[in-house]
Amino acid sequence: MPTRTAKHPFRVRFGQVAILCLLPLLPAAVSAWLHPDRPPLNPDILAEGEVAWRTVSRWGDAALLVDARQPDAFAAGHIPGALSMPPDGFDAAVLTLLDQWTPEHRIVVYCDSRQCGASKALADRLRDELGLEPVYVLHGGWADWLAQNGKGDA
Amino acid sequence: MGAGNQTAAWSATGSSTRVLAARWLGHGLSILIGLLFMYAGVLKIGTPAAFLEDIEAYRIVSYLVAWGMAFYLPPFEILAGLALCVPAWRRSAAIILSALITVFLIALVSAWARGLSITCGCFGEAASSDNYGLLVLRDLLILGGLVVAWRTSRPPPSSPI
Repeated sequence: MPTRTAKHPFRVRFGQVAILCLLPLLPAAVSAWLHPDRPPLNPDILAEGEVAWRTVSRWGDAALLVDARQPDAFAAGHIPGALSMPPDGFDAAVLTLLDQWTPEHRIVVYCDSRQCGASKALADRLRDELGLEPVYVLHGGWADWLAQNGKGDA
Repeated sequence: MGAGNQTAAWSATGSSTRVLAARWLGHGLSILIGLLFMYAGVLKIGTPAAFLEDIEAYRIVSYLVAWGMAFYLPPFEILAGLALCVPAWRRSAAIILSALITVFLIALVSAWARGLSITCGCFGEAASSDNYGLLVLRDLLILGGLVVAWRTSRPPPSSPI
């Protein structure tokens, strides 16, 4: 009768570790493919109405930057030259914006990061309520700008 | 029964009670930590974009790596947490979760040292915190629990071929 050998415990454990590490790849791949909220694989892909910082930086003084974050976040740090226009302070900041705006300006609104919606909402408001054009949303917002440029103005 | 035999019997009983208590402690801790990891994974699996943002805030890995992690880590945490609750898989799960929590700890301390403003991202948006001391303490406690789970669990049974 042939003798039955046993698997070494180390081999069993190694197999289990491999399974635990490799098996999640399957749901991860399905999620990356089908998830409705999946972020783009290429961070430089711009959504409609968005503009990348490297483009804005080429515009120079023609870019009028508007910060849609809350005042405390603006006070902690913002893109140099940006005007604070939080959702609650729209009316108060409108006059300052119109003082600075000229038809040659391109308005660029930003909020915290790639996922925040405040900048898009403010851009829509500037177009719809004030009729300002063109108004862009800064791709990646403050987080991406900070990652690319380091410390902003406080 | 002689006095010497009685002492030996008591000693043996005490020793087996301690072993049993330690095993139950390890069992309870494993289930608790396993559920914790499963909870963390479930919270993040539905919001890859927000989790990606949390990973990027650490500024350690490239966007592409962070993108992959945002999809891979939640199911990994769920599966490993589940395995930690199963005695036959406990040691293997404890190994990889200890490695994972060690990486989290290094990332946290690194972000702390660089003065970054992060919200951990450990439990999605449900329990975000930027108190570095508490976050490090929590991870150290989880790591300690995983070590106890490892030490008190039996090695995996040898499988006959």
